Amino acid sequence: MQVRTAYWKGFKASAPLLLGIFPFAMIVGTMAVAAGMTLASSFGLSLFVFAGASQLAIIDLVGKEAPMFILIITALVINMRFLIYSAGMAPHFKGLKVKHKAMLSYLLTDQAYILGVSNFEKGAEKSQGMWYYLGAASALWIVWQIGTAAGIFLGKGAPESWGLDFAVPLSFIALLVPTLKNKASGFAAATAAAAILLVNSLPMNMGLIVAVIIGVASGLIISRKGDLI
Amino acid sequence: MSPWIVWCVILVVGLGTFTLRSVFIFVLDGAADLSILKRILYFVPPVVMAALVSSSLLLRDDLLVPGPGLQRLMAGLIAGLIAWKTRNILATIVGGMAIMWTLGYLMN
Repeated sequence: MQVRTAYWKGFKASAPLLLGIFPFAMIVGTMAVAAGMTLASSFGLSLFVFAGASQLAIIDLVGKEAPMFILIITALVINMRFLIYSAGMAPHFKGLKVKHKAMLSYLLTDQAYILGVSNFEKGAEKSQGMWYYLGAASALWIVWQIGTAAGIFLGKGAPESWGLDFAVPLSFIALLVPTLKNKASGFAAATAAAAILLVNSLPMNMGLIVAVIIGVASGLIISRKGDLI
Repeated sequence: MSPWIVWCVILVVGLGTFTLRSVFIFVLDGAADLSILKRILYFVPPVVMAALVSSSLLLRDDLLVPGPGLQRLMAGLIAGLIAWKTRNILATIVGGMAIMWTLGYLMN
């Protein structure tokens, strides 16, 4: 199989996911503008951070005028899962040039990881697998950028009475439900949901981080080794 | 919030996220034992999302508010059902928005 074939195979494999990604990207763009971010920084967020859930959290906190370090910590905690993906892809990208590793890393997302790693697990040869991953990851990147840009321009025109800001909690719900895979994750989620009601009034919007720590700790306590994943 | 603070956040989070994405790709030579990290990170997505959903549906200015937030709460619960049945972000958002608009129309 040629390089170009592998690239397009990956590109096409991401197509079903793109149907969901595009409207999600639009929501993120729309919300950024609605939260009072400039057009440039709304787009810069997608370009530099390129991770939907953390972008929404940043937008939410910008709207609440939270202090800078809270925004940074919250976003990075949400993105900590990339460590696992990074470790998962590392053996497959061994020996590549630094600049190529950097680009493949920048494009690493939940969806690109899942597509890329399952292709390697099916026995893809190293270079073909890398091109397949690049095809999927770059398709996701393109659609994410176009979607946010579309949302940014749509967001400028949407009247407040439409209540479009409600799309943010709705997208959190859509992201939450698939993560509730078993009793332990359900328990941890419920604990965090209850905890934030108590700690949300902590100064500087620290509530979210505190609730997350409580929720994760409760999950670790309730679950036993081997129950997970 | 001033644009330059937002830009600082974007650049720091951008750099931090890139570091999270690339660190093992750059430093790992073989497979790593990440079982403890995996156990912790396993809980991060459900916990973060649950906390965000809970605070945005149930709280206004740090207080539990049923009144004006009621239609959003009901729409949110039904959106949760839609998410559970469809596993589709778009269907959840469109469904939830439609229910909120309908309830708003009926209640006013």
